[in-house]
Amino acid sequence: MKMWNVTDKILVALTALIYIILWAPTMFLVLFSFNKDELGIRWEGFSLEWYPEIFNNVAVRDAVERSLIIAIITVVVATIVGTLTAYGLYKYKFRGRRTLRTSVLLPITMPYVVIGGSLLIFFTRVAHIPLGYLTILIAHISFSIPLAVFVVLGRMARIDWTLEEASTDLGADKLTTWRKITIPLLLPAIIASAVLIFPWSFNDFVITFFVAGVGTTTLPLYVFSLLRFGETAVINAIGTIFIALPVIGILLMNFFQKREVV
Amino acid sequence: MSKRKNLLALIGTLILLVSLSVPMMQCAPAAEEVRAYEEYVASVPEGCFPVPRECYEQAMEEGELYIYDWVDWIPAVILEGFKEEFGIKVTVDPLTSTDDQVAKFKLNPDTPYDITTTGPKGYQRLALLNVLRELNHDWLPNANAFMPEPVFEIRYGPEHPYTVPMDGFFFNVYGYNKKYVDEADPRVGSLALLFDAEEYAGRITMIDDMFDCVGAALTYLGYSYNSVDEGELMEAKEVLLRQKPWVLAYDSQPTRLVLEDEAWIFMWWVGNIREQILEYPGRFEMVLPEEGAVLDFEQMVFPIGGKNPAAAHLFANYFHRPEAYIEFITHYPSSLVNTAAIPLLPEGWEDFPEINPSEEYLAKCEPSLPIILTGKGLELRAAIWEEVKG
Amino acid sequence: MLASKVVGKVPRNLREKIRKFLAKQPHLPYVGPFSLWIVLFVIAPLGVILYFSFLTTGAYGGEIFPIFTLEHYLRLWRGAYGIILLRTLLFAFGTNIVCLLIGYPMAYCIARRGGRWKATLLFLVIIPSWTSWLIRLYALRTIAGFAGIINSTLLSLGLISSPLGILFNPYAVMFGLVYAFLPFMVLPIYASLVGLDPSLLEASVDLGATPFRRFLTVTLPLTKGGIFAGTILVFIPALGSWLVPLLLGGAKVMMAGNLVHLQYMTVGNIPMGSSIAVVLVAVVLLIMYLSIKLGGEDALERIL
Repeated sequence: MKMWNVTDKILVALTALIYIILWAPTMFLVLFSFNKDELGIRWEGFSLEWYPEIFNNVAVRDAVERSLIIAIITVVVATIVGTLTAYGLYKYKFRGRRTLRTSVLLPITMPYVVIGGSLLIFFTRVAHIPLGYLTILIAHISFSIPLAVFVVLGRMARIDWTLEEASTDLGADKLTTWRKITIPLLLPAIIASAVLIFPWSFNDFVITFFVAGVGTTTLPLYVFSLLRFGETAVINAIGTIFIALPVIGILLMNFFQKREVV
Repeated sequence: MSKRKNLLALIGTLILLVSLSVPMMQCAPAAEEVRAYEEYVASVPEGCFPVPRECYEQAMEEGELYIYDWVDWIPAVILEGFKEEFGIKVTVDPLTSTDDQVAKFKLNPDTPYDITTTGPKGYQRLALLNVLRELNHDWLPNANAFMPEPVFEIRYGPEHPYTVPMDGFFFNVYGYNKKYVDEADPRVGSLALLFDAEEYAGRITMIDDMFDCVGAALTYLGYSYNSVDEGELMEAKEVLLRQKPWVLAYDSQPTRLVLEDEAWIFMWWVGNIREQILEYPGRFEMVLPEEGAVLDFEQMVFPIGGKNPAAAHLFANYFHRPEAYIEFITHYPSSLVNTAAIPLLPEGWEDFPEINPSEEYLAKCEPSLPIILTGKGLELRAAIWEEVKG
Repeated sequence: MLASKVVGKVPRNLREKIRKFLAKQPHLPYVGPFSLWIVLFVIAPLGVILYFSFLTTGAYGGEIFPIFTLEHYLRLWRGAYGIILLRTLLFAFGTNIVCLLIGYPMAYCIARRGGRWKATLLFLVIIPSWTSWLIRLYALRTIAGFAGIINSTLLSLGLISSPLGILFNPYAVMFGLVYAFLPFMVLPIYASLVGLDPSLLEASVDLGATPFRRFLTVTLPLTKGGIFAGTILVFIPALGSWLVPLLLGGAKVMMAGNLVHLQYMTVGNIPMGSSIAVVLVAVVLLIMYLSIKLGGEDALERIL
């Protein structure tokens, strides 16, 4: 363990401070989800009432369901297409490869307002696709595929591909090689991209706001209309669940990894 | 290796489960027997009127209803009651602002909502877009019977075939926090407390709406809310620009700011202010400004893209049953447009000025006119608003 | 087996042609779907709004005529719009710098002193961004409000005599932007720091460099990829931010994103909104190009 000098100590103190500031609103959210007062202004006492409220309130329940389904479909499609694309980009050299690789950046660097707005105009004026689940899914998938590409591509460099070569040399056709070798090799990356895409899709507000249709109120859209009225307790409860889930997930992952090592 | 298989199996099961729940979500309320028309007529409460047979039967066939409405504006109890009595599936999408509402129909005139609720300007803007369906007044017997006379002239009936009024509403009103604002202050009771109140800098909130802010400034100056005179509008602009540094926020729903004692003078919606006054007695007071207010109506309108017009009529008729209507009007109190519900009002409510305005005050009020929504009226206001908000 | 059943339905010489075609372009089935998708649903819409930005509008926000005009772009130079665009650029740039100034030391700290807590610390940076922005921003708003915790603590400590108006001004918006985008600066910088070859640093020590010098001449240039990746992930979304100025600026601080929304939705002037969007896209592409040029291939690698 190296000796810590003054610079180190200052750095650590600063970093700790930033962490606190970063987490303060989240902690506040978690705390106030147990607040009796539904407007979340003063602390009125401990209460668990908002959690069951999530399930009793039909509007919230429906919104959560919709967001879940959209997120899951987005994850499935985006990881599949993203993995395929990453594979193609990594393994093959072809004309336009560089262009494609840079254009993968395009959807995720465009401002959301531009993505949402351009898709809105495109859907309503050009393609004449009615706004609804389909348009939301298209928008979400458009954004998520690059995420998947980047994660998978990033890990592909660190994988030992000789296994795959061996499989082909031994005469297995592409499909079998994929099933038995390639996918298992890439699985951690695929799961990592799914873990990234799911919360993004579930929580997306701006893009969904532009392309949503009738009867497709997702949770963020509902939250937006509710926040303006100030009754945030249920929202806080939902938010808390959303923080708790990944934390638990990470703890579980750590636990499993330790076991694997052993 | 097997751990990964387990993981895959888990994911697979999840997807399977979810995909199974999708069709369940979309199943209409299952094999419930549809009541015969005669049964429905018999079950209609005393003093109310049923819709004609063809409306009822068509509504039963349609089976669903899509409403585009402010969050919790039509109280859940009315929606639930309607669902239970008629077995019609109701989906409500939340409205975030009038601008967004109009934008939706501008971009797609066939947006398939059956009912949407609008304020006066929302209604006029949608009417200008020609996206509203003509109502069949034979299918709205309750409204026909209970709507007050004056409303017939302005917003309901054969000359106004697009709307079912829900309540009367004063615009350009504001509330103040009694703890921080001295009631003896001469500006209380006038729009001067909004526009000429430097001491309250940082404690004033205004509604985030171009027409309301510009209109309030015009009224303050003594001009008409509906002015399209460039000179008058420029003066209004000056008022707004002068006020801007004193404004805490332009927020159409400053609930939190009001309740946290951050905003002491707040331009807000009549129903919301009254709600807070009732909830926290003695804390707030409402002002219908002496310069006059805009009296207009909020209404249900039926977009032409809606696929369930009979169900929509059935709902509007249900809404105007006194027992249902009273739930609505007590939720966000404002002027009643249903005479049969007046006896059901809670104690003391008939005395509220916004529920029972006096004749002289009504004389000072004006409706908002479509002229401000197009052409010069709109252009001037938009230019002012951009400058004020920029 | 299934494949052969499907394939069997296709006539023989067509099959041969497809097979030959695919053999020459083995990458096609992999990158094909995405290429198609991006053309259809990203490039085409952008093209559409580019097209619309040159069209004339009728009466204010009325119909659109297919007549070429530059009036919307000219309008951007006049009046309030130009100021809004400039302000957006300034805010985004400022956010970028602040994120860099805060994020770099943070990433450095985690990378160099994190030890076995590295992964956990990283997750702690990412997790808040998994909660909905909306909720977090609203929580920020409550904390910073007049009756919020910040003010009540300061008041009770006697440091101030009346509550501070922290919200609804440009500083609040800036803070919100930094707050939202900080993780996206930390991650790529961390990734590039971790990828540093320690032998290079050792060599510089052997050559007599002070820690400060070492940082400036070795660490910093080598992590430039991470810095520019972070720039891409912060500057660009900050340019288009809509929610933060809306919620934290009290709708008093308008940025380009708000302007696009105003034009598209409130006013309904699609060509005008499109012209602003096009300008935004142009700036975005410029920034991307510069960052990749200056940051090198490494920058591309580092984006995640």
